[in-house]
Amino acid sequence: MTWNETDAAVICEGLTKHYGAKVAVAGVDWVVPKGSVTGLVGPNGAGKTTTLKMLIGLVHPTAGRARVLGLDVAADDLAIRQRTGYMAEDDALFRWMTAEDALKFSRLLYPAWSDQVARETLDLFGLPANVPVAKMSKGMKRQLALTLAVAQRPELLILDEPTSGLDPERRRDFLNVILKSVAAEGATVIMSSHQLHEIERVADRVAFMREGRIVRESDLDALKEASRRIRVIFQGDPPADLAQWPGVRRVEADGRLHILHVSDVDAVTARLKTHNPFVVEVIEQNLEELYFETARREEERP
Amino acid sequence: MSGAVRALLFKELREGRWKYLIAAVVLVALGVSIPVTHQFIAGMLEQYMDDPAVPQALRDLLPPDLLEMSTYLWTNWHAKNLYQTVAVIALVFGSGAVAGEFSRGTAPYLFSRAVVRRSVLAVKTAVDLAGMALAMLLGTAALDVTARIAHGYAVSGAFYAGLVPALAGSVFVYGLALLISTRIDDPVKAGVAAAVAAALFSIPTFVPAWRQWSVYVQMTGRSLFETGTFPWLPVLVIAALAAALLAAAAYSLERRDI
Repeated sequence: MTWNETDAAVICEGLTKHYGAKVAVAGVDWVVPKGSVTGLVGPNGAGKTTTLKMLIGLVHPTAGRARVLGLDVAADDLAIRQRTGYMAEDDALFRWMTAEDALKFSRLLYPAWSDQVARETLDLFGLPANVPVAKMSKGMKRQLALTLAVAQRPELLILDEPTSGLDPERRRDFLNVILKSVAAEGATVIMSSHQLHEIERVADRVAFMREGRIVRESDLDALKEASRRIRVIFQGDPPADLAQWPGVRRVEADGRLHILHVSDVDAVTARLKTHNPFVVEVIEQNLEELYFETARREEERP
Repeated sequence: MSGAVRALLFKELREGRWKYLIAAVVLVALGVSIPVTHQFIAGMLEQYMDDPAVPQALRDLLPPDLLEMSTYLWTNWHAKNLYQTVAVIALVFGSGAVAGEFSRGTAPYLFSRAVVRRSVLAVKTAVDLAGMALAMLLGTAALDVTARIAHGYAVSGAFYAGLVPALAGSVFVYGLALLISTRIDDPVKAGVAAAVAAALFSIPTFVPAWRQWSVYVQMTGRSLFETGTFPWLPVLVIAALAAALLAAAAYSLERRDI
């Protein structure tokens, strides 16, 4: 599919970053549709943070280009930052600032700033207004950083490991705030995380990043649909031509148990039932399984 | 004034208030101490001059009017304490300006806000220089008031005019430190590197034929004291060099990854 700038919040073409001889990002081609919640997943050192930093103008690309909200990251970084909420992985707010100070500081910077959103989010988190950042726990600092990001009412929200180090309750509140921002403002969200179950909960798209490249990118439901498998246990011998059936991509056999990788679940299931197997069931893969499958596929790539 | 500049001013004034206060206190203390110690220094010098063990050649090095109040105040303020102290203050302020954001870990937050890096640098520079200028003015005023109270002596306008070359020189040193601060993320290391660079610029001071090319010599505003003429050319040259250093710092910050 060819994307144009009215449909896409982010378009990267060959986006590359070298640090001396080290290649951090190796020609990323990536489109993030407007209004989507995209999870960016990959191992440490895959280039996720560098890619996100290039989108906000913190890091200058070595080659390639990126357009964010229709603006060139190399030429219009200020305009991008005015319309984008960004939460860095190790976001260190000014230590002397209280939440009240932080709101005062941010209010002056963003034309679409909403005090109401800021207050509601602070209340939801139960964050005190007059405690300096230096005296806040890590969780409180992350909550304040997210409050500041959503109160900008950004068109694009870039969150780099937003929930790392948070307890389950705070993580739940965090994700609710993100989803609320999406629902209320129609914001596009890009969220990098190692918490795959969180990505699965909030994201409708997922991009797998590995060794500086986006190696797989898709609508999450479509990806799950495409990666569904059939588990079948035959009463006798399986059909000899099972691997050649239309819609069957691959067969893994373990005695009478067979796992079929298929492209057309319904048609293959119906045909399997004509062989009176003991068990036929469709297996959904979760994001974690998809993650490891993608990693394995990439490792096997010559 | 744009919202971004107001936000940055709010931040810089709030973060820097103690360092500006300390700079002012140091210069005020120096300004007060000079007139107050006049009699003590005079007594020491008389003892020194009367000591037969001191060779005549050393006695001849001391200007005969050294203890005359105007000479005493100028040589101890503009020709020594003021420019030396503000050079150190400029080094400390400049080397911490950008490197401090990195060492505190606040750089990614600051530079990912809706601000341009040039504005961040411009506001930091403006606030730091205003803080230094105010501290210098307060120090000179403290010297003036103390001299009036202790000795009934009113300093001339040249003492205040002398703040201009001193400030121009301190902007130069600040620019040097700021440029280094955009490349070295540790303020202590940046400060040491800036001090080495600033020391290199002091070499002409020690070569008689090159003295007039020394920023530090020109910071003393000597012609104001000796002939009453304002050193326009040195001030303009130093200001141009300082502007070039500040522009280089802005370019350096613009180019770097955060």
